[in-house]
Amino acid sequence: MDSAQAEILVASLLGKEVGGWRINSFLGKGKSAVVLACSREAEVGAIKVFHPELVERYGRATQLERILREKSLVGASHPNLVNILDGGECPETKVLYIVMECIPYPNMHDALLSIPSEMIPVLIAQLASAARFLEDRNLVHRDIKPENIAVSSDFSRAILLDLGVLRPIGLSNLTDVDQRSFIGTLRYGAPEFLQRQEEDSVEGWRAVTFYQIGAVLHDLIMKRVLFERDSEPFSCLVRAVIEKVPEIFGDNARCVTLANHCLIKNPATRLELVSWDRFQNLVIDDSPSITLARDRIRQRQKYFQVAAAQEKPVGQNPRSVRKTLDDVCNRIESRLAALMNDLQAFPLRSTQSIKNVEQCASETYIHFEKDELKGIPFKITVSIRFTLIDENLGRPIFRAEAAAACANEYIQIEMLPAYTPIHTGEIELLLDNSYLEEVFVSCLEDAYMQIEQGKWPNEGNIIALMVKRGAV
Amino acid sequence: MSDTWWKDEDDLVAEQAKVLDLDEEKSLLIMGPPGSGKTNLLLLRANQLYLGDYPNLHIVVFGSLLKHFIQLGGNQYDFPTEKIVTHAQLFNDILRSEGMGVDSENLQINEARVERANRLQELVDSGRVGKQFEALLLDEAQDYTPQEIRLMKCLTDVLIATADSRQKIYNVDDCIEVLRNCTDEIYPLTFHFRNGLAICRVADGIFKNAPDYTPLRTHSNYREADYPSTFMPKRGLSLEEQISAMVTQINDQRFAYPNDLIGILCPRNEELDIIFSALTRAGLGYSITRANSKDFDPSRPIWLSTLTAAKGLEFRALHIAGLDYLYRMGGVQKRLIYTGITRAKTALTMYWHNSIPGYLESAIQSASPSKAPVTKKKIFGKD
Repeated sequence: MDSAQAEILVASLLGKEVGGWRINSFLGKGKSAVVLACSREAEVGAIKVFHPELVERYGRATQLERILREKSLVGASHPNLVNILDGGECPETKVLYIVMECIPYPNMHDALLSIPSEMIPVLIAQLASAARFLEDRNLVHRDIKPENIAVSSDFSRAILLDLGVLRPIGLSNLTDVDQRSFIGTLRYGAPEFLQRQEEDSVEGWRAVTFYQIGAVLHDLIMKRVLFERDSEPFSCLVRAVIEKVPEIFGDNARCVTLANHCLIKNPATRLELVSWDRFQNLVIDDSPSITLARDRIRQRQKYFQVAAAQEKPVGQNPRSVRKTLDDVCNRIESRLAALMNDLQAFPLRSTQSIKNVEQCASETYIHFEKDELKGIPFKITVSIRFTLIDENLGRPIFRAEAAAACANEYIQIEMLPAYTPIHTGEIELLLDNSYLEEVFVSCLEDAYMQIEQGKWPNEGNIIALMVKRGAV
Repeated sequence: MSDTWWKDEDDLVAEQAKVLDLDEEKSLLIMGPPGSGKTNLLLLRANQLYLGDYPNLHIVVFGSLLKHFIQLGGNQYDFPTEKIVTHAQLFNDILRSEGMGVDSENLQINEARVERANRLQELVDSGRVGKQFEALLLDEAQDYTPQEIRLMKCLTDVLIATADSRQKIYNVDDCIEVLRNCTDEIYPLTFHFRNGLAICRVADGIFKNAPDYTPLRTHSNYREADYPSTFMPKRGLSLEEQISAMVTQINDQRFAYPNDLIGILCPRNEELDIIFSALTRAGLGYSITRANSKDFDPSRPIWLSTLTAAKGLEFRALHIAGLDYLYRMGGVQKRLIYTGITRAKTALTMYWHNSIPGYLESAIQSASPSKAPVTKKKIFGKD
């Protein structure tokens, strides 16, 4: 719709009533609709009226269905979601319209440079809470991006706007005429969404939503739009969405990590890494020791960003897997050596790593000696398994698991109990956080408890030790 | 030097402390990897014997540099540092007292060594020389000939030897079997503490295909958090460029490790001479010393030495330069470079210009961060 078309439409509406709402003044225009201030008795709102010609061109039924979907949210109120007041087809003028609350705030895209970085966690937590509110009602926004988010003037509140491409989850016979074309905004679309390969399930759409929230988080951290340098030509942007890993760095390591995880190309990996809690955890206070750990992560991440930018993506081939596993084992062994040095609580140890290229996994075994001075009368073995689950364009994602046991004699590795999942993420995240520390500390503590309870391993027997999964 | 020598009972781990519980009259062969505490244990055992019933003892080391190094640690013990002697000195003193001293001036080092052993053999066989000492304690015993070991056994009641066959750097007949026969008990040390993981990985690469080799990183209990270890290969540098890269690093390392020794090792003396004068010109003249020379000043913080003479030493930061000449070191070169590498505690840098032996290239590669896949372009030298 060009300006002339919009002007004609606005002129034909001003002063009239649409669906019982009196049209007062012009607010703005979009691609297919104009937005006007309106009132109904004491109630005021913003009415979005769709251009009749465009409605006909793209299918009245589709458009009406969308509006009714949006209207289904009338009365369902969430502090971070624009309130829908009314909507439908005007019986008199026959125009399609939707009425929402009037929000006097600029959108996040326009306010980007003035949003203070300390407000980022709270804004993202609110945005995620709104998206989750929709998911709980079996709906998905599909077009979360900074332009569709209003930010209050004190930057303390975000409101998700424009529910125009809202879609119910799991209704494949929907009369969505433009089903194969792209709904939403390319720049902020998840790769699978861009290629229309998203899975029409709660999880499939959740992955898309996580990606889009991550893209918003990226813009807030980096103070620029995602893939800014790849904007032109169009094909460049498409390629960036599909295969470019964005560089993200900033003061808040937790935000940076979450943005990185949300923007992971593979939706399955993304879901393995991100959960709704992660967004709410952004606003939970850090304890000092965690802050220190995060400082270390931040240092590593700076390096990591540079390294990732230089590295070319490698295919899933045995050589690259072997190299990745070699590298991982070296880093795990170094990390464990430093950890044992820091903790000063463990007996002398032997370390052994076994790599399985076919299963994309490595296992690092730490065999501790008996140590009478420490009151440990048996041998303890702890194993850490790292499984490569996604090469992720040169920034591999691993699942970490651990198992531990004690016995009188050297513990054969095939005798170890079942592995407990620890965490999933980039190697830096897994190594620099306190996950491994918690594994070792919890199993040593359990060993002492076994002794105190008189449960010593018999000849030829082994006793499984508990390994605790660290807090996220 | 902060942690080279043990000062306290708590510095020992169980397997080390148990050596001191063994009967003093026992002859022992202590075997263990680099950094497992062999030399420290030897000195402690010497002190134990000296304070006990065996005051007439000698600690026998291979070369004079190692003697100086050990004397630095020997200061804290009760036995006088003169008790630490080289094997050449030990044999020659006995020969001279019998009027059969070897004048080594006109002889090659190896010829003099053989001559000394043969003359002493005569004296022992003819009964003119018998047990002269209550105890002899041999460091780096893997480098003696079977004949020398047997002779030393004839000179003493108690023989204590430390050895690691991976560090045998002289091309003489293997004496480990004789050492076993000349001692009452073999005491193995398993764990080691000197070399950071980054350094263990290079050393392990050298012997990675040897069937009976236990990788160093398996039993490393190095304090990686206190001193995070690093390994840096520097290829394609002329000797001049090697020196200037070294100077930059050494200045940083002097700042980072003010109380620790820094080592510079080369396969040959020719390169050491050039490095010595270049470092002097670079303003490091007051800090460096030629360790394998008459002017050696152990109080200086940067020691220059050949790989061969550096056996038994340890450095917080180590630079091994001029590696293009390693291949000239013949059949012992693998164990020689292994011994050299394992002198490094925390930071190791290796420098070369054009080429190093394939086993070393492969060891360095397996210890370095992974490379990008080899492209066709690269195969044709165009990338």
